Amino acid sequence: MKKITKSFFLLSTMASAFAIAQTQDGSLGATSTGQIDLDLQVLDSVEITSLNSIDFGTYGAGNTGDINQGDSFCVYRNGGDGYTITPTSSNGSFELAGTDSNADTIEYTVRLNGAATGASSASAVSYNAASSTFNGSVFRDCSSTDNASIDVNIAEQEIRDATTDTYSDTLILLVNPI
Amino acid sequence: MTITKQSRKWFVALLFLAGTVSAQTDHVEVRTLADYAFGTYISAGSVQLENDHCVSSANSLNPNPPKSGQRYPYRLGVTGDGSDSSYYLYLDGNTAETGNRRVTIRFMHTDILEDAGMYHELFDSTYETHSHLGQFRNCVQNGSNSRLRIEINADELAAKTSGNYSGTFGISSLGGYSGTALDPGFSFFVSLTIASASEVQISALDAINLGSYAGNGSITASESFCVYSTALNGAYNIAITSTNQDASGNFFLVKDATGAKINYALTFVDSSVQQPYLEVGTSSLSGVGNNTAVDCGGQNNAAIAVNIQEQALLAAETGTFSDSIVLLVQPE
Repeated sequence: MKKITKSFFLLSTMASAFAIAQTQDGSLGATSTGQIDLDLQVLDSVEITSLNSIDFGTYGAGNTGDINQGDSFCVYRNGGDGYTITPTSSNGSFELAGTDSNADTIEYTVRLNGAATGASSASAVSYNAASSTFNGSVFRDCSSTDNASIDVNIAEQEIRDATTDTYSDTLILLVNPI
Repeated sequence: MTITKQSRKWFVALLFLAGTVSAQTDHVEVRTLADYAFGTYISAGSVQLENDHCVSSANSLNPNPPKSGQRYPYRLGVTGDGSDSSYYLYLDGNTAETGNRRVTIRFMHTDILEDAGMYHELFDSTYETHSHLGQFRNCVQNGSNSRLRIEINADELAAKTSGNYSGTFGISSLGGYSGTALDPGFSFFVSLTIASASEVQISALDAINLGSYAGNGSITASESFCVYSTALNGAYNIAITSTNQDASGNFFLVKDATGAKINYALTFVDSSVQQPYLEVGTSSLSGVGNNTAVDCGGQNNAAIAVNIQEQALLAAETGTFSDSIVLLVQPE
């Protein structure tokens, strides 16, 4: 079995440089005009939320075919601008590892989409490679409507090759502002 | 020698001819022109004063001339200090003054009996190019014919130091049947007092650096400053606008490169009367300034505050946003 832990990632580019603002006092007279300049640096910001674990359940003698499971989630991006997702995992590759000290692994593929559904139809993403570019929501909670999804696929033969055990992994989704 | 009857006839005839020649007098005369006293000026726009008088130009000195009398054109001239072609009033009458301590005035002349309201500008020490038909002496037949107006522009007055301004000017005329007869005329006096209007000054202003926003929370920042006002009790009026404000009074930070905007709320407080922060929109606000110290004695007495809601910041694209808040203060 595989787990995706709920993760949160907020990226900010801290480098900023302000132009020196000009401000001037008024002069003494029948009227007097002063000026105050305002400056604000908005940094790149992204946030991924509403992630849930993926439980593939059990696979036994009575089961056939590949396993497909997925999850939808929310990606905030300031300005509603673009982002990519770079997936990695705690196992160092897209594979589930046995938890009972056996050396077997179960490989899987990952697909990502910039909408709450449709990931299963997207192209597979390579390990530690950026996905296609998607656009985020300007709301940190995506107005309670997920705007991205992931699909994890395990081929039937991968399962049949594996020793009986419980298998798991933790997917890490790194959101990169574009 | 005896004079026969016949010779007496010729003598009378000669006397008559001699009398005819002596009546052809080359006459021009500028009659008295009253002084111009503008009184006290307090921010009341442009001002003008005019006086009427008589200018006669004829071939006779007789106010009621014989049938052979004719009126002739005249040209008026006004002399000032001669420094240039303009006319000036000087602070305390000191002709050495320049800049905001002298007031430029304009002399405009019309002949009210013939020019139908058309005025001609005069220039220092130069006779006007436009001539007017003069009257017989003392203008007893048609009344005063010459009107001399002094005009002073509001902008000119607004820019001057308060005090008493004055100037002495000479008026003369060319005319007569020769066109070159000269009456050197006389001098007249022009006076004006510019009152000390209430003054204000806004100072101790600093830029507001709203910092870097990385996606968490709202932003609030304020800037205090000093308002000095010599109006009664230090009262002033303040109009707060910005280069990016819309017609409804909303304020925005703008990213120049793309025109993207972030809305913010702007409030004002007059801390000297402990009032709450007031929302700034399209209307001006009132305050009470310091009326004793231009620098408020180092104690700022007013402030503005900027507040940007979190969602406005979250929705903003990456980049530098800016605005310039303009604060116009005037006595109230």
